[in-house]
Amino acid sequence: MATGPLLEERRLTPPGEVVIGAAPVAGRLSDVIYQLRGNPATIAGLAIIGIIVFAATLGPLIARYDPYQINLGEAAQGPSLAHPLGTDQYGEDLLTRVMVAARLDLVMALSAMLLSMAVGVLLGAVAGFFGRFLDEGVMRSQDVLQAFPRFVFAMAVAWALGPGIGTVIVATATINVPGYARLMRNLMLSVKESQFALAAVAVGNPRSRLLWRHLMPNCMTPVIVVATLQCGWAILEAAGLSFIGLGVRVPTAEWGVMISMGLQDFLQGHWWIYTFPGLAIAVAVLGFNLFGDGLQDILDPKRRRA
Amino acid sequence: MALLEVRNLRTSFFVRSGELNVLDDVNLEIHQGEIVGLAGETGSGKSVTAYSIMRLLKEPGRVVGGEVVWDGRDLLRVWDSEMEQEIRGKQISMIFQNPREALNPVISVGKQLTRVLEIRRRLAKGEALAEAVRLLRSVHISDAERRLRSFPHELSGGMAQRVMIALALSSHPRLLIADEPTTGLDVTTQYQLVQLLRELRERTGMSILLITHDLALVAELCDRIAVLYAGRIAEMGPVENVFRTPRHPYTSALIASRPRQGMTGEIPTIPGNVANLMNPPDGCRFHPRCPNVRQVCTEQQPPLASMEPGQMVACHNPIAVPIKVAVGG
Amino acid sequence: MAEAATGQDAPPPVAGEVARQGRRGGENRTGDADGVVLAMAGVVKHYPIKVGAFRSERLHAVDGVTLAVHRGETLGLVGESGCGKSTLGRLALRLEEPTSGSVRFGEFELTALPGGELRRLRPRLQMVFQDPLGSLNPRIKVWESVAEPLFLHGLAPRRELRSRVLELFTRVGLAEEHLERYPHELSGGQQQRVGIARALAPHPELVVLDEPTSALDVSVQAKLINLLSEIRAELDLTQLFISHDLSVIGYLSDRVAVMYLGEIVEIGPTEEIYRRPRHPYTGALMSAVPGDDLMDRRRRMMLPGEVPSPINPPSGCRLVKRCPFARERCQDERQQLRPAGPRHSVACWRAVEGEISPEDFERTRVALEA
Repeated sequence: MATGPLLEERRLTPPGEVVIGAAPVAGRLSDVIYQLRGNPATIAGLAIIGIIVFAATLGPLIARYDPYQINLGEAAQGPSLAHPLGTDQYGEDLLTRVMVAARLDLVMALSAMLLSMAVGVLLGAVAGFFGRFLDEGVMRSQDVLQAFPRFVFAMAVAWALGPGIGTVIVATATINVPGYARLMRNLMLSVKESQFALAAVAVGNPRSRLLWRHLMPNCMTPVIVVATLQCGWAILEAAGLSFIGLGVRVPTAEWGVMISMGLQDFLQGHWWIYTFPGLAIAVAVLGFNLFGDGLQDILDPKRRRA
Repeated sequence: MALLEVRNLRTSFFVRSGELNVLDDVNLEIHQGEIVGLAGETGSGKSVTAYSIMRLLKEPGRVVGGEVVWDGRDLLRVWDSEMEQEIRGKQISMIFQNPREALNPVISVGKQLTRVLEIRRRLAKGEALAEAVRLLRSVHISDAERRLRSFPHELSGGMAQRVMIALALSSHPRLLIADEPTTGLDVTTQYQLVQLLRELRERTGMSILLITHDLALVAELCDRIAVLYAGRIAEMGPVENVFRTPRHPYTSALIASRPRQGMTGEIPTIPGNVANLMNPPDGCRFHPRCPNVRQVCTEQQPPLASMEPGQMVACHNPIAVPIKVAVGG
Repeated sequence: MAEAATGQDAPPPVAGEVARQGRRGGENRTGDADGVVLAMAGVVKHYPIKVGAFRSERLHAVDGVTLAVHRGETLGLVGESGCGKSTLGRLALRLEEPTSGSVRFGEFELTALPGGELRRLRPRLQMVFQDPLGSLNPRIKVWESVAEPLFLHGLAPRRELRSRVLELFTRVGLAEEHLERYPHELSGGQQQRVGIARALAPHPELVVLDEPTSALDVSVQAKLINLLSEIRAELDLTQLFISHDLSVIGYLSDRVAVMYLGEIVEIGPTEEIYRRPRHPYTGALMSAVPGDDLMDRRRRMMLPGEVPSPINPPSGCRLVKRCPFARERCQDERQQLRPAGPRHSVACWRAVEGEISPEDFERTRVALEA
């Protein structure tokens, strides 16, 4: 029987497209699992993130070596049974360092993401809700921030603040704020005009409660999706700052730092020293991207699995 | 010989909780030059019928049985490519609700029209332009040349729908499927469109399948009507017969549930809710809500049977029609 | 009138206080001496529209509307899409700011009330919205949406909120199991019942219904209309019912106001408007109302052309380009509502002066081709 679906038009919803009034994911675990099952990419992403988180939390505890233990006798050795990922120029075990770095990078990225989200969402919400001068003011300030090439701007902030974990977090957060602010502002402008917002005013909500209880919660879904996608890139940005020496410094176990250390031995052919941390970053970004994409599929009612 | 014959069409939606049997054994015939109305409420399956015929169903919907015979061929079994190149937009055209949404908002109306003409009918640019103007005029759009430069959002609902009709007509289709074309349009605009469609039928002999929930619209426009309930045809026949002497209790209740000025008392309503397609009632799908229900209705699905010439009803206990007594000596 | 009631030296009523008193019914009920609950006078709403990079034009959504809704009556406001009726509904509750004009609710001039006082008055004027799903916050359980007005205005103690909502649910035909649902888990008809329950929760005196059944199926609509009829009788509600559906308006309304391009062109008792319309536009609308017999394909009074744009509407009578009875005077003179009978006003000089009549409208009807 030759039947079957034929014309398929998959409308790709760009990330952050407003889905106002979308059915909230009704927290039922079985629902979530069902959606996940239809989305192997998301599961893969989740798995990768899981591995990284596992490495970050438990790795340093079960590691056999001290990440900062200098052991020149074992310097620059390739992958072996004793050192599955090899050692760097100082004899520090790379596997241990990669796992310890996972913790640091994850913490920095997540902190940066949360910070930028909080500030950006607040700015955007205020701009969108109050409009007019406040809107103009906030949006123009974001324009200024975005006028500079992203990474260069992060570098400038990092250089001004001096090296350190806090610097990395603040610098990474700063360049991400405008994205959230714009997104939130646009969502707010839309939601403000929705019928339930009007109904909320009609029953007597004061403006503050309208904003807090009705409007903002209905804007958060796309924000969360973007935030998840951002996590991966935040790791890259944090590592990047450290790589060029503006973030955390040698010899901290941090992926960017490790790559920079490894490149010093590039000509000697000690490829493992920079390759493995690099791979770690790549895998992390991939994991968050896959998961973020899948999350969007789950949360957007048009793309949900029926 | 009918132009389009739909036989035993079955379509289901496969969702997480199971199979939603949206269309169950739908039979329909459209003859050349005929205007047939497919009427029903939300969930009756009327739009799904059109999409099944045109093979425009998207996952999780699938046609699972039946035939759609057009020109001696079963459309459900032809190649995708043939469907796309020969049938859709050529021999069978379709217009939808919300015409402005069906048009590309950033391209002028004229460009959209001429592009279709250039590609589908292989006209040269100049010819396409002239033909576009002619098409707009044929749907009574005044000032056609200027309208070509408009963008969809600049058009009113009625005008946008006329542009859609013009687009649909560009290939001289033999059948036009109109899915709720007047929903959201004003009553005065609606009747302008009705007049236009009737005129087109007169001029070109084109058939029309009108899909709608608006019974008054069917009365205005259609020759025959098929009433759909929960994926099955309840009643089918010439509009005069079905509306003046409905035989199926659902049809009768639907007609009666319209509010009217000057009516006193409550509006008669149909008790209960639309049948759950996940778990449809046994036997006749309307039986839980039917005033004429009998034991057999809960067990056996009533077949679509002929009552009078042309009027068919799927009911074990149809409404009796008073016998006309001959007048005069 | 208000001064006479409260005495010369009494301070002006405070909205919140009177709102609470009002609910006890009796003498403090809204409405001035004539029993007018809502009085709109010369209400205008223009929206600035950007046309091109530098020019700005104005969209005349509502252009000088004057009407009054009397206590206990249902005034139907009918018109085609884009005529401004929904905007008028929102202006009536000051959910939008009028560009000019006055909106009086009882003795309160809504446009002059400061924000806090307006808010405290809100329980007394409520609205049922057009989009059953869209008018409910999708992230909140439906019972919480209905409880909100009670909660915001202190109309019930916290622990009683849920049971009060259940009472309301029962009244509108919903069950206890629906309380904990989210809007998208209910059918359209059920969602709209929630909307009605929410509007009724604070015991309003005036309810504006903006196309409450337009998004629903005919059979669901019928049930909801029956519900609205019952409730209206039981609670002695005053209603402004807005719709484009002539049949629904005809069934539910005591009086009808017909709106065209931002203006009221005719207003009068339902029976008269429907049976003997005086304004040509009303005549055209009424000729399109289906009768008892669907097959009675009556001839229609057709208006050629389309509704002009509300941006820069024509001066003079707005129907002039489409009206079969237009004269030169119609182009120059903007029409105002003038009495054409007891409680019946028309914005058409030819109708008022008896030059055209409902019989003339009948004569211009055209049969659709058989």
